[in-house]
Parts: sequence; C-alpha cells; structure tokens
Amino acid sequence: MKSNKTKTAFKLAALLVTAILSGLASLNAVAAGTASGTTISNQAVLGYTVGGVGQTGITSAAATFVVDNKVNVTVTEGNATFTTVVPGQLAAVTTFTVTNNGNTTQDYALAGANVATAQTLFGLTDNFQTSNVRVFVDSNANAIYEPLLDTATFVDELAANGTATVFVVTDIPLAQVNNDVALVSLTATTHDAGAVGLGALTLDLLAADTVGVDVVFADAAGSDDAAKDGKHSARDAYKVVSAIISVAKTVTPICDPLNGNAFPKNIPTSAVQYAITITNTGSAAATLGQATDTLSAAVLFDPKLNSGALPATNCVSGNVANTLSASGFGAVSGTGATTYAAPGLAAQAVTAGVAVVGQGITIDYPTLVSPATASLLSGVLPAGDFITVYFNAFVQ
Amino acid sequence: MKTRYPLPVFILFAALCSYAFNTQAATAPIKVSSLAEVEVEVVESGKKIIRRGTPDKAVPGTEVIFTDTFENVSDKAAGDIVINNPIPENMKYKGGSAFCTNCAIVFSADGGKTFDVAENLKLRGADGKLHTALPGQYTHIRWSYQGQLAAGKSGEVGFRAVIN
Repeated sequence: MKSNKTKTAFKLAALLVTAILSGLASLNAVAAGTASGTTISNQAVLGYTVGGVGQTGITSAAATFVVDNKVNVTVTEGNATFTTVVPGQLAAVTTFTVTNNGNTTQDYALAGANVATAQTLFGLTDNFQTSNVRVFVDSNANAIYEPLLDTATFVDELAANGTATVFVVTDIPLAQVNNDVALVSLTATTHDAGAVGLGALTLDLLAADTVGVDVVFADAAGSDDAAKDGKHSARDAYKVVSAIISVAKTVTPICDPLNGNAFPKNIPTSAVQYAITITNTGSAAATLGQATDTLSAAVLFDPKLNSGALPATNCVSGNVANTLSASGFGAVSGTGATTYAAPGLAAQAVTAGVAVVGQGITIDYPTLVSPATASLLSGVLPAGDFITVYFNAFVQ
Repeated sequence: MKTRYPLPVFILFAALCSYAFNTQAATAPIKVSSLAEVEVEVVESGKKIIRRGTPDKAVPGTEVIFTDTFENVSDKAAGDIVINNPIPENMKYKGGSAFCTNCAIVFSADGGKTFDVAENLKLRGADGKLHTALPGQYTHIRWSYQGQLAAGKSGEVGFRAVIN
C-alpha cells in the first residue's frame, strides 16, 4: 500500500513537471548560442514518505538567471588572394566578410586602413601606401562593388550568425611600378543595435552582473586588434602590375661594294643595318606609340633594305636583286628575346606604319604591319614580348 | 448522565485541531530550494583560487552549478526521498557531474518517461538504430536518497550544466 502511494505521488509530480516544461532538450542548432535576454530557470521536485505514507510532492522555488550578451565578431578576407591593380587605378576593391558569432543582434562600425610597410601577406611584402581608403557594405549580397548601390559605411542590425560582405575601396598612386604591394586592413567594432543609424559603442561590463543583460567580450585577436576588445580585423593586399619597357638599338655591317657581305667594312659606300628592339619585361601589356630616330648626316636611308648578298657590286642603294622590303623596313615580333638577325628576311618586310622624311625615321607601332608581327595588335605589346624594327643606311 | 462539553470548549478544540492542520499544510515539512552558481577564478593574497558566485556573465558556454538542498523541518523522519530535476531549457547536462551524498542517481533522456543509469539510456538516432544517449541529451536527473532523513537534518544534491 505504502509503495503504491509513493509511486503515485511521484508519478503525479513527474507528470506535472513534464507538462510544465514541454519541448525539453531541443538542441539549439544556432552556433551563436542561446539568445541574450533568455531566462534560464531550474526547479527541483521532491517526493517523500512519512511513516511509510506517501506525502504531497514539494517543489522548490525556481533558481533563475538571464543569459547575457556574448560579443564575438570575426572579419575574414574574401578570396584567399590579392587584388591586381595598375598604377593610377581608382576605386580598387578588396573584399571581406564580417560575421556576428555572438548571441545578440549588433551594429558594427567599420574602419579600413593601410598596413605599415614591410608587413607580409600571400607571400608579398608591403612597400607602398594607397590613398583615399574608404569602406562600403555590400547592399545586395552579390560581392560586387556597385558605387551607386553600396553606400552604407557601417553594418546595421546584423543578427546572431549573420554575415555581411564589406568592400575596402582605395586609389593606387600613379607613380607605382610593376610588383609594388600595398596591404590594407579592415576592422569591425561591435556597437549596440536597435536604434536608427549606428548604435552606441558596445561596452564590456566590468562590474558584477546586473539583473538585465550584461556584455561579455569573447572575440579572438584579429590581424590588427587584441582579443576580447569587441573588435576583429583582417588584411588583404593589392599588387601592382605594369609594363616594363626597354629599348635597344643595334647596328650591324651588311655589305660593302668591294667585299659584299664577306666581312664588310664600315667604309663610305658600305651599308649598315639599324635594329630597334622594344621589350616588355613587365606583367602587363603596354600600348606603344611612335618611335622616332634621326639618322646621322653621314648616312643615307636605304629605301630597299639591301640584303647584302653577293655579288659585292649589288651592294648599292636601290639595287633590285638585293631588295628585301619595298618600304626599306623589316619587322618581327614574338615572345621572349628578339629573334631578329641581320640582314633580315623578305618575309619580315614592313608594308605599313613607317615613314621617312629626310633623315627622320618614324615607326608608328599601332599601324605597323608585317607578316611577322602578328603578336603586335594595334600597337599593344603583351607582357614578355618583343618587337624589332630594322632598316639599312649607306655610309656616305 | 452524559457529559456535554460546552460549545466554547468544543469550538476551541476544533480551532486547535484546524490550527494544527493548517500549520501542517502551510509550512512544508521539507524545505526544498534550488541554487544556481558559477565558479570564478579570483586572486586572493597573490594566489589564484576558485570561488562560487551568482551567474555573472552567463553566456553561451558558461558552466552553471545547480544545487538542490532539502531540509527536514518537521519533527518526524522522512523516508523514500526522491528528487526530480529536469535539465533547464537551453542547457546541456555535463556528463558525470551529478552529485549527492548517500543516494542513487538515474537519468532520463526521453522527457521523463523512463529513468535508468547512464549506460542503459538509449535513444534512436537518425539512422534508426539505438545508441547510448549522450549526457547532452539527458532531459531529467533523479536522486533517490538512501535511508531516512531525520528531523532537523538536511541533504544536498546537484549537477552541472552548460548554457547552449
């Protein structure tokens, strides 16, 4: 009898408790944790007998407390690589992600800055500072900086576990050269949410717990901030690519009327060949303009690009048999070091883009045409390529 | 001749009886209370020591110590004392942390329908198979105090849980 009563009393208590606290043990799938402001309550129910007789169960008062705000934010760089820019480029963009890893909706103030020289990232070393650094929040989550749409300068009302894409936008000075590197950082600082605009700076409570929701900083140290300071930061890099242009001019004896092309001598009536080679050893294509050259008064332009082939008597200006080019110019382009070799080839005869006025030679690269300059399109010399233009002159 | 008690005496007797009855109903024979605390590392006299305090800075991940105290404030011994404590919502029981003196401890992982020792608690997983329930899946703890709790004596049970 007494065991029945005990069991009954306990079962009733258990049923009552179960009814009150339904939905127990529902695992909180949110990584940020229980929302701040949630009240946690614990109650115990005691069952007992006196003299073997089951008694009414006794419930304790509830022990309660409120879940506080665990502030945690992370800033990560967007795509694990640097952004390529050219000298003078305006509004160059690097992309970051700001994540609210805490358990409360927050605003975040944003600050973009240049990182000091000699710092490294992605195997690159910072050696210049960009100008006019600004920060904008991606308004439509497409990770593309659209100046007319992406105008917000702070992250507003980011829920727990939420992410925001942020752009650091800056200008590259015109004086920068190929392989220059600038590192930038983005720092997000936690602010209170709930009001229009950027909320007040969120402060870590140092005094004892109050009845309301208190703040605990739980963030890690970022690239440019400390742990537990309510902030996080990350870095990205800009790398400058540009053309490096070098010009070289060579002169090679072609023939003289006595020896022909067998060991020709630089004597009056001999022909020499000038070759102008432009090489792009940089990382970006270069658009070439014009090159001009003034021949010395001691020489006269050869209008037919004499090949210097024997007999030696063919070594005269205008000789038809030895003509390699009707314009007097040859040109060849390609990758790497120049493949030009004197006396040149008829297959490299230039048919447009050159002019001779008196002693003045003009090469106009955008309009230069030769069967051997296909890699030079409209005067654009790709990175790593060369263009050689050559012509003869007879020593007077 | 029958002895008749005067009405006032009868009323007084009845009042005394009801008073005794009311006393028993108004004051529970066993006081049960629950306390929530956290451990904090403090520096005293240059040494780091652990102190217990109210749940300051209770954030996800904070471990809370719950202590249920029961005191026999009646004049009779109490027996078959069983304390049932559901794990609070938004918290996970910390395995192995349930404590008491002189009692047996069982758990439930199915909302209080069945209780057993930890090794015997089974839950059906997503694969349809039965697995031993993890401490974080427990829904209730039950302590059975062994023997009688004499008048005036008290006991203590408790556990630790972590905020989700």
